[in-house]
Amino acid sequence: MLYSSLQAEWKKSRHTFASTLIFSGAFLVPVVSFLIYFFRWQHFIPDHGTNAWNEFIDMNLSLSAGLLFPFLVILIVALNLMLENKADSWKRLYILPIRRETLFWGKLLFLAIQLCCCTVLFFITIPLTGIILGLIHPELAFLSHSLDIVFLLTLSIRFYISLLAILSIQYFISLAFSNIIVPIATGMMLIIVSIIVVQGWNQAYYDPYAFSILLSREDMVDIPTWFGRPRTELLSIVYFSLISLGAMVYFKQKQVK
Amino acid sequence: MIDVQSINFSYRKDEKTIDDLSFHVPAGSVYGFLGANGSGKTTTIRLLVGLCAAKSGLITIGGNKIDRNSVNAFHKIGSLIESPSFYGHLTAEENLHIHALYHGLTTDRIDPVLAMVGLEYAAKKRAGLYSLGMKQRLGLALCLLHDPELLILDEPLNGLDPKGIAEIRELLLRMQRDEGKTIFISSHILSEIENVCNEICIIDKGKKLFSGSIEALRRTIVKKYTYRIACDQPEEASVLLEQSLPVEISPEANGLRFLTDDRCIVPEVIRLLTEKNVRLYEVTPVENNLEELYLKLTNL
Repeated sequence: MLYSSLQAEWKKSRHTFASTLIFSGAFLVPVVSFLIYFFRWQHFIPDHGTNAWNEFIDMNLSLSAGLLFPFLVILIVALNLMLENKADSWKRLYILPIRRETLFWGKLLFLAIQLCCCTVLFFITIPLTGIILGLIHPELAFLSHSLDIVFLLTLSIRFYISLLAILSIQYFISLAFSNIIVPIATGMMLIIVSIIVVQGWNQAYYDPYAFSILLSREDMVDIPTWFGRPRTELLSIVYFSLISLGAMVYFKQKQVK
Repeated sequence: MIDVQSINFSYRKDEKTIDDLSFHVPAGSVYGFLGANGSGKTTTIRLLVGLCAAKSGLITIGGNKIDRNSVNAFHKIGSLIESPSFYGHLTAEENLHIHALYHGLTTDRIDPVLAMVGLEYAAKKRAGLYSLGMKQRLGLALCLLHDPELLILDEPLNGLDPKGIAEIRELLLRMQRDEGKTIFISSHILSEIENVCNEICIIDKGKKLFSGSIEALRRTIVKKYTYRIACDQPEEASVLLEQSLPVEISPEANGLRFLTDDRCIVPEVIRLLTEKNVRLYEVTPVENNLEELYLKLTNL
């Protein structure tokens, strides 16, 4: 039944702004980075012994992690749930012959898949734009330096994990409020708070909206570890699990008035 | 099919939205649910389908107790609550496909159901562009797709033109007659309820005022029998009847109307008038329609 629920979510999302957002959001930063490198390529010629890819990946990540991706998560969740509110379809979904839990997890899983697609596209576009830049401007040395695929893959997984906490919080808020403004405004406010928090608070790694920012600043910020992994990643998984469970209990008990 | 026993519900602590409501909907019947705006009709329907939970009392549908996890009962129910809900950016076909996926059905029934509600010509049109009547039909198609035993329809005739109303009426009657479906229908169009329903329940301020057949309602409310007489001398006939028999007379165009406690007086009336050479064209019983009965019952 979860598979049917996922299929239904997929069909619903067709021709929607949320699905367009996944593609445009994933390509936005790599394309902007590409344009910056393309027009100002003289400024980005790497020093001897420096891998050109490192700076390029850092640039993409720092531009995306702080604002773009957290904001994308907020929009993807809010727009997907707005479909139900706009269609006034909760009353119909709640009386389907499927358990509310299935409906809940189907939706959350679909959102997680959408975010995954967005992340994968983002991390595929980075090397692609780098290769194109290398072909146009060989001086940038993208083709002469090797790209550490394992590092990029690991980074993409860590990046995705760091966003899961935001996904669950936004899902909960969007389920609780039928007005789309509430989850978007709350999410934006929390992102701004997090941007400020990571500047000076040494406990910022407890703030779920700061996890992706901290990932992009790993070389500047000292993040404590648990079981050999950065605390932010483990906390993101813990937050995601607990908040999702809380949201499910809320969803199960919810009355449609 | 539906059994409601002493349910109570309130949105706020200081008021009762549904107050000790009980009724029984027999399987295979078309059951009308009537009440003024704010009387608790839609809340009752929400309770029936488990969208809200009753504070006390019991609701069973087809033997299954209804609560928010009544998955078994939901297989049997097709419902249209208030306005139809669908995804406006998708076509009717796509909306039905989504519904089929949730019900674990194949797409085989989509075309027949669209034809059943008369929407086959607009199957590939975006539902958001539909007229009010077409949206209502799509709502009906969504609740018919999984071939439920019970249809719970809240104001299903809203927005339909007279032809549409007649078509949906025929459809509902056909489903009851040919397929044995039970239909629970709430509507403000009392003449339509009268046309299709075997039994009705009338509520006001969350309380049941009446449940039973329309004939039983008539017998409960109307203690006197009313007859209409068409004749050539209505004024003389009125005077004559008033002087001779225990009847209440009221004038009418081309005749008169009389009320009596006893139907046995009718032959007397005819005999008296014919003896006095009043030409009688017609003597017919007048039955209050549902609207009149409803207004009398609710003292409006």
